[in-house]
Amino acid sequence: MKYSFYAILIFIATTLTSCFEIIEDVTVHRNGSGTYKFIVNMSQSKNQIDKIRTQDSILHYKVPTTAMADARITEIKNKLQTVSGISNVVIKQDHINYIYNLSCDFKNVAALNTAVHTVWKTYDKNAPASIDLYSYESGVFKRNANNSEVEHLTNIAGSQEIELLQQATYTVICRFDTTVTSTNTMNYTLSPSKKAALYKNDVWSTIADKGKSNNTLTITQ
Amino acid sequence: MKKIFLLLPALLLCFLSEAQDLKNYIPEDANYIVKVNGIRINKNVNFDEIRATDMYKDFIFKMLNNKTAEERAIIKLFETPDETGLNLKSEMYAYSFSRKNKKSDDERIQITTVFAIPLLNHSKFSVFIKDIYHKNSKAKIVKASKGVYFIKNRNTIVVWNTENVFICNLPYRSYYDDKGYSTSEIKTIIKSIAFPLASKSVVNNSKILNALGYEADIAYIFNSNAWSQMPYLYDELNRNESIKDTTIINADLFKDNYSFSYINFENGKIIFTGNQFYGKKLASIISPIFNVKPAPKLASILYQTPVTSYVSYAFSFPEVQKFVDRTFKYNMDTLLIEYVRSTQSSMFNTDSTVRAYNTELDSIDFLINGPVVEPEESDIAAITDSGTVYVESTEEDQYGYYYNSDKEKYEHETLNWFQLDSLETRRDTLYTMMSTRKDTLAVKLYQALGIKGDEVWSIFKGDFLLLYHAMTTVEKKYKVYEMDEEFNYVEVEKDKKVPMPLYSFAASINSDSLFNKYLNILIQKGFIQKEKNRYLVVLGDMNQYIWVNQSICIITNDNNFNPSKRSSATKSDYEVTNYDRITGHQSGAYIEVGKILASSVQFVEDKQTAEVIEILAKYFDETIYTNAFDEQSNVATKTDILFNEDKKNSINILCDLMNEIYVHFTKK
Repeated sequence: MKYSFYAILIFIATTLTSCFEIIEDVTVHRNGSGTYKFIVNMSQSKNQIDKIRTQDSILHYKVPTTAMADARITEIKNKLQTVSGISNVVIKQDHINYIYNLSCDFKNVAALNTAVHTVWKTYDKNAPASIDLYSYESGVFKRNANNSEVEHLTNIAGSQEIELLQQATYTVICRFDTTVTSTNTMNYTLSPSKKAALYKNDVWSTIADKGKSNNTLTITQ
Repeated sequence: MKKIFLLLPALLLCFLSEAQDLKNYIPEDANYIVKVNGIRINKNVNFDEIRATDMYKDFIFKMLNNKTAEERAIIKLFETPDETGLNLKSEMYAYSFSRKNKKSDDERIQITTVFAIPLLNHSKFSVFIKDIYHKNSKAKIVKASKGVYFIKNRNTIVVWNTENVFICNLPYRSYYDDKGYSTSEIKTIIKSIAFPLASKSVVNNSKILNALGYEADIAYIFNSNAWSQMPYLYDELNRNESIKDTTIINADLFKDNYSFSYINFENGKIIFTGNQFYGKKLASIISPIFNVKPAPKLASILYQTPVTSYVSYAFSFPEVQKFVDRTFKYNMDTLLIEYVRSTQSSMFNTDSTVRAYNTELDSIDFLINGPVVEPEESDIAAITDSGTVYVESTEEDQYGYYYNSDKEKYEHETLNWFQLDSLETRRDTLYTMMSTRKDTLAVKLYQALGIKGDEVWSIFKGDFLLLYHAMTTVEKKYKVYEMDEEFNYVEVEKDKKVPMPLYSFAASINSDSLFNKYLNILIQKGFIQKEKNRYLVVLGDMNQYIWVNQSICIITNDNNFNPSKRSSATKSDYEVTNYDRITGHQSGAYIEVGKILASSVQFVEDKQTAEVIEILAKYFDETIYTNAFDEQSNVATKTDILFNEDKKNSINILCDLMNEIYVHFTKK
C-alpha cells in the first residue's frame, strides 16, 4: 500500500468544510534570546477527522494512525533538541481535539531559524538550503518569510485547497520586553502597551502573497 | 321586416368585432404568442386596493412628480387608463416571428416582436403617444395610409389604426450605421404587422386557436415549426465527429411541437397549467425515456419518515443509454477517466514524477525570467498613541510586480537566442510529459476503483425521490484561542449551532448485483463504512448514511431515519395524498413553502434577510407541482402556488406582500 502523507492531507482538505487555525508566537528579549510557540488547531474539523481516522486507508492512501502521528512528533522533538541554541522543547499533542502545541526556547534568532529549517528540510526535499525567517539586530526585529521558497507547494494547490486555506487563519504574534517605536507595515496591530504586535490573516494569503506577514519592528533599546 | 332591421346591426357588430380581432394579425408561424386577458384580470383584481397601497402612492406622487408630459402620460396610464385610448380591459397579445432577410447577400434571420393592444379611442391614443415621445423631438406622428399612423424612434415603431395599436422593434442597425430606415422599409414593416394576414394568420391553425381560446389570465404559446426552417441549428451539430447517426437531430425533430402554458390568478392561489404536444419524431425519442413513473416501493418512503416537502422524478436510464448509443460515438470508460483526470488534478500534483517535472519547469522559468523581484520595504511608518500604524503604500505595492515576457526574451542579459529557444522547447516537452503522466495516473486510479463504464448505466432505474424532513441545528463543539488586548491567549471551548436541513434522497436500484458490487468497492476504498444496518459516509463534515432496503438505495443525513421503523397501518391522509401524487406522475413536487420559510428565519444571520423571509412566510402556504404523460405522449403540467389568504385575488396578495416589504424598509 502506497503511503503519501501529503496526498492524504490534500485528500482530507478537499473534503473538509470546516477550517483550522495556526498561531506563531515569538517572544524576543533584549539580548536576542526568547521563546517560540507554534500551535496548529484543527478542532473545528474534528468531526471529519474522527471519521477518516476510523479507516485504515482511503482510496490507496494509508490513513495515519495515532502511533504514526506520535512518531512524527517525537521525530520533530528529537531533531529540535539537537539544534544548538534550542532548549526546553515541549510538544503537546491533543489527538481528541486535534490541537498540536510546540514550544521551545532559543538562545538567539539564528538558532530559531536553524530549528525551523531543520524541521522543514526533513519533510520537504525542495526546502531551501537555508532560511532567515527572523532577524534581530541593533533593536530592529524582522520577520522575513520568502514566499518563493514555498512556491513548489503553493503552485500545486488546486482551487479546493486554496479555498480551504482561505478559510483557515494564520496568526503571528511578536512580543518584546520594551515598546515598539516604529513599524513598516499596516498588516500588524500593536497592543496598547506597544510591547506586542499581531498579524492575523487567512493561511493562503499568508503563505502565497508576497511579504504579507513580514515586518520590521524597531524596539526601544 | 322588423327582424331584418334588428339583424343588420347584429351582423354589423359581428363584422366589426371580427375585424378588430387581433388574432387575424398574428402569423401562423409565430415563434411564440402571449395573450393577456385584460377582461378577466380587470374583473378579478381589485385595482382600487392596489392604488391605495403606500408603494403605489409613492410611485405615482413621489417618483413621478407630474411635471413633464411623459410623467403625466405615465400617470394617466396608471390612474385613468381609459384616457390613454388603450383598451386594457381586452385581450392583448405579444408575439414574435422570424423572417429571412430578403437581401441575397445577408443570411441573417430577422426576428420581429410585436405588442398588439386594441384601442378604445384612437384620438386619445394619438395624444398619449405624442406625450410619451415628448422628449424625442425627432419623433413625429406620420400618416402611413388612410387611417393608419405611426411614430418611431431608433429602435421601435408604434403603428395604429382606429381599432388597434402595434408596438414593434425595428430591424437591427449597428450603432455606427447612421443610415435611417427607408420609406419602403417602414412601409414593409407596417404592412407586415398592422394589416390582417388573411390565410396566413393563426386563425387557420386549430391547435393554436384552441389554445388561445382557453380561459386564462395569461396564455403562452410556443411552437417549434419556425426552428425546423433553420438548418444551421442542427447541421453544425451533425458535422461533429461524435455524432453517430445524423438522421436523428434534423428538421423533423422540430416539427409540430407545441407548448401551451396558462397562468390564472385565482383567489388565494396562482395556477400554472401547461400542455406540451410533441411532433411524431420528438415524441418517439421522449416517450420511452420519460413516459415512466416512480416505483410504488420508492414512494413508500413517505410512510417511513415525517416529510414536509418532496421532489420526485422518473426517467428510464436504459432508454437514455439506447438513445445515446444510437446517436453518439463515445466510450463511457474514456469519459469517466477524463472526469477523474480533471477532478483529481491536485492529487496527481503530489506524484513524485509530476513534482520532478514541476521542479524542472520552475528552474527553466528562473533561467528565462530571473528571480521574482520582491517589492522593496517601504518607508518606516509612525505609530500613533493608539497604536495605529500609518504608512503610504508605494505604486509597486498597489499594482503588483509586473514583467513583460517578450521584453525579457529580446533583452535577455545572460542567455542567447539558441539557449532561450532550447529552454522553451524543453518547457513545452515537460508540459506534454506532465500531461501524459497525469493521463496515466488517471487511468491507474480509474482501474484501481474497479469501475466499468457500461455498467454505470445499469445500476439505477432512473426514478428518484428527494425528501425534505425538517430544518434542525447540529451542535458542534470545538476549541479556539481567544486573546486579550495584549494578545495573550487562552484555549476556550466553543459551542456552535450549525443549521442543517434534514433530507433523504432515494433511488430505485435496477441491478442489485451491480449495486452491491459498487457498494463493496466503496467499502474497500474507505469511502463508506458498514454499521449495524446501514453505511456511514466517511468523507464530508456532515454525517450521512446509506440504507439499502428492497432494491431502494437511500442516502440521508437524518440519524433517526429507518426504512423499517413504521408499519403501513399508520398512513395519514396527508401521506396517502402525496404517495398518490408521486406514483401517478412522471415528476412532481410538494413544497411547504410557508413552513420552510418560517422555520428558516432563526437560522439567517442577516437581519434584513430574516425580516424579508418572515414577511414572505406570512403570505406563502404550499406549492404543488405535477407533470404527467398521456397515451399519445402529450404532457400535462400543473403548478399551484397557494397563499395563506384565500379570499383575495393572488395579484392583490402579491401587491400586499410587496407593499409590506416596501413599508417595512422605508417607513420605519
